[in-house]
Amino acid sequence: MRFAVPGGFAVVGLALPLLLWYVLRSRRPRVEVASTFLWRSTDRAVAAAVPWQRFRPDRTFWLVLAALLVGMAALARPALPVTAALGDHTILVLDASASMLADEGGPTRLELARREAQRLVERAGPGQLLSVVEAGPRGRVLLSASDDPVAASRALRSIQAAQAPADLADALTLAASLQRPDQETVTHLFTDGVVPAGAAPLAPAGLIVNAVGQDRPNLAVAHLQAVPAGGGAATAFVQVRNFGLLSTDARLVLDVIEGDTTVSVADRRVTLAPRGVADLVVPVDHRPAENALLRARVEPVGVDVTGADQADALSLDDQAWAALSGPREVQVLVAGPENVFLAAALGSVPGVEVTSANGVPEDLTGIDLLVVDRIAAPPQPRVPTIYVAPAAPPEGVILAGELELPALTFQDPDHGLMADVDLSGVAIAKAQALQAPALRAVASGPSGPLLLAGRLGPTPVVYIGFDLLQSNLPLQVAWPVLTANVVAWLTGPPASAPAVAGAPTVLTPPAGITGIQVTPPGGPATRLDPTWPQLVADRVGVWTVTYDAPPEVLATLAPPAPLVVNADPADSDLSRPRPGPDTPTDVSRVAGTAAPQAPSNGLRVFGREILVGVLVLLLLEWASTHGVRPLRWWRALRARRVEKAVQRS
Amino acid sequence: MTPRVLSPELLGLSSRLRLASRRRVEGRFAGAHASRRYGSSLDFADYREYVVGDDPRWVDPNAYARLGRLLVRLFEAEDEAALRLVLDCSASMGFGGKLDRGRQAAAALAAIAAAGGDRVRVLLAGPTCDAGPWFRGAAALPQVEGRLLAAQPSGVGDLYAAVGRAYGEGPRGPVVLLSDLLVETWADTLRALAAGGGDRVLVHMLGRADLEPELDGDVRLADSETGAEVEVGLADEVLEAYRATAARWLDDVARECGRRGIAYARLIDDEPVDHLLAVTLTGLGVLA
Repeated sequence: MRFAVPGGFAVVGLALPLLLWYVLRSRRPRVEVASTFLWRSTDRAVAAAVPWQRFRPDRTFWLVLAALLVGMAALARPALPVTAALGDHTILVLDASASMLADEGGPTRLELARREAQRLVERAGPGQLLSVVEAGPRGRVLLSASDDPVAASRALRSIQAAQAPADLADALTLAASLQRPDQETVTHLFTDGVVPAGAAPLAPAGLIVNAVGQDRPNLAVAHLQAVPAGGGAATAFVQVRNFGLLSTDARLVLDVIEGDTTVSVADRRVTLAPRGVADLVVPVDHRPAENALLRARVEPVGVDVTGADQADALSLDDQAWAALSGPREVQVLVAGPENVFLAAALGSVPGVEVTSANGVPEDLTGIDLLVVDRIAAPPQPRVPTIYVAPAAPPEGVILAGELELPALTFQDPDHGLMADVDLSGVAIAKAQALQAPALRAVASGPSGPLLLAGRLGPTPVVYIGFDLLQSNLPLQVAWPVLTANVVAWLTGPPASAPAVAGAPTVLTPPAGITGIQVTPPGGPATRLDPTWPQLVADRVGVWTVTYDAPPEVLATLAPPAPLVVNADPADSDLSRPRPGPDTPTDVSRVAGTAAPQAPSNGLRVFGREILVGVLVLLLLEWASTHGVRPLRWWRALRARRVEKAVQRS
Repeated sequence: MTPRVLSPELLGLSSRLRLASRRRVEGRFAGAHASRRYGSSLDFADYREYVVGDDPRWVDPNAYARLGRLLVRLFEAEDEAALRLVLDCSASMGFGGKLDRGRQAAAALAAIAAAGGDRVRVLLAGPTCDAGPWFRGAAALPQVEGRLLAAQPSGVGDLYAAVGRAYGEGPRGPVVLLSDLLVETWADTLRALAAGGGDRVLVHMLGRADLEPELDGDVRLADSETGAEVEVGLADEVLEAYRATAARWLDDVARECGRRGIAYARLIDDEPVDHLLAVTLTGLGVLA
């Protein structure tokens, strides 16, 4: 506790005149009599005129003295140090993740956050700078150090919630970069969650977390995957989650979408416990056409324990999509000596038809995938190719010698070839020493790469730098999985896994294309580099993919499969832990990490509130002096109301 | 059951008393009081000149023999008395037992009138005057008591208007004002009371606290009716001065009543009402 104006205590000196006043002019108690007529008619003066009387403090004296002391405290302006809501420079960071689209009984969470931020903007005085940062899938500075509140309001209004999780670390890093050393900076983060532990150290000093929203019920299709079941049929693995705190009944509908046609293939009803999960395996007995999609929709049914209709606060995650594989066949030509392991592994991949040849034929028409096994490779790959220790490598790969018993010490887990593949138990007797700048090492040892992938020219290739018969790889569980991954990666997967909104997604375009264009639901289109076709899909739904290629190449390509993007289940949890609403919180207490400490550089002054107390005391003194009895009035008023009520009844 | 104002003892006393009008009354029904009109009783009243149409039986032959003129004998008439009771219901009457004593006195007078076959009307003089109906007969006594019990002290009593209202309606009869007269305009009230033609009685209701206030120290006295305040330092000499003022005022009221022909009776709130009835009013000739 501090006092902003200690000089206010000097008012206590007024207590002495007050005391003198009471001594000089004793306050007379009020006595009601029948009439003062005779007193006024009395001949002599009836009021005492003695100036100095015995000090007889009555109730009014104590009330006036209390008012004086409280007024003294008000003038001294007691203040408590608090975290400043506004500084010389105030940075407003608004979470624009998908969960901020949740309905909060009318407005969305983002709208609530915008209102809170707008209140701070309205409190900003002249000379106080404001910055606005949007914390979407990528942080974005909308306003930088402006003293114009109108511009700040405009920037706040321009914030739109994305359909993907927010990258708070990115946004807080941007906010920290806006700080200036000579300014006292306060940063407000408006979010419906907590600051992740990884983002807390990046937060600027003086970060205040303002939680928005309350626990809301939400149903979501958390996962959807269509797995081919042979014969063109598929099996759908669906996970439905109830993120609410009450049990609920839900209806799950599965549709197959083929162009403009939608066919409903399943309609289930499930009961979900509070924050419960239901995993369903639904056979999809429907032979899909090329690039067909499977859609799962969930909706609450019935009423909750209070009798109200079941609610769902976030509609974004109520449906999910998955691609269905069509009846596509892959023609594989294995060129080289007989290799049982290779033929068996390729033959086990669904839809693959394997033929063999001693050498690489000139005409590769109808061949989707070429395997060059221990023979000389053509200089240029013409179709997607797997090289298995070729006697002569293609152009772009340099054979630098031979490695004896190379150790395999690295495998790239992020590469598509390595999905569910564990090469830790692989032993190799001899391998080629390779140099291939255009290819990416997927698995390697200290002496060099052993498994490479990439493009030679426009054609995707996979290069295995050792003879399979000189290793125990074909005896490993990883071998058929690796083979399936290689076939999928080179020829395009039969059914690509759904992408998650906000997560990086790599497309697998066919060979020979010169460009890729993806169009999200509602547009606009985005072009991708065909040599590194990666994007961050920040919009939920079905994205259209088109290829640019010479006409003769385009004629040989199958229509590109659409890219399906589903909501991130992390955004579906609307009841996750967070600070209470309207309680600005220091980030260090939220994240539990060593975040920069918010400065306690503000003062909460209580002068006006105390002055109200002074007024109340003076009002009581007046009422006591004039014989006003508020309680009596109140009782009479209450009695009158009761009487009227009785009369009405 | 309606609460009673009159105690059985007071009711018994009332049954033994009658209104004794000092002035002639003017009633609508026959009664026991001398009327302003001439009637057909056995009591000779006066002579007047015979005019054509008079009943020849009332011509006095002896007067004709002595005076040689035809004179007709006139006889007294007896009417009921129309008693008006004006009860002061101002806020000052609520102090002490003034209003209760006033209710008892008024109820006793009403009972006396009812026993004598006279009619009675109770006027409640608060900020506005509530005249009320006429009552007649012993059967109406509970209604009179109910009306008196409903009277509550409040505000400034407009006695002047209430007395004027008492004279304004109905036949001539006695008017009894029961009031503490603790107002600046008490003399005007007495003037209005004296303006009537019938018997006028003032029952001066006083509180013991009005005469001998039990106050101490320096106080602000607030008037219950007007709210006016007077700061008083209650020293002995001040109290003595007040008592002298009160005594002088009582003398002034009594003197003014005597000057205007108003029967004056005083009732202090710690004194019994039966003394007022049996002694004071009987002595003044108001009751018999």
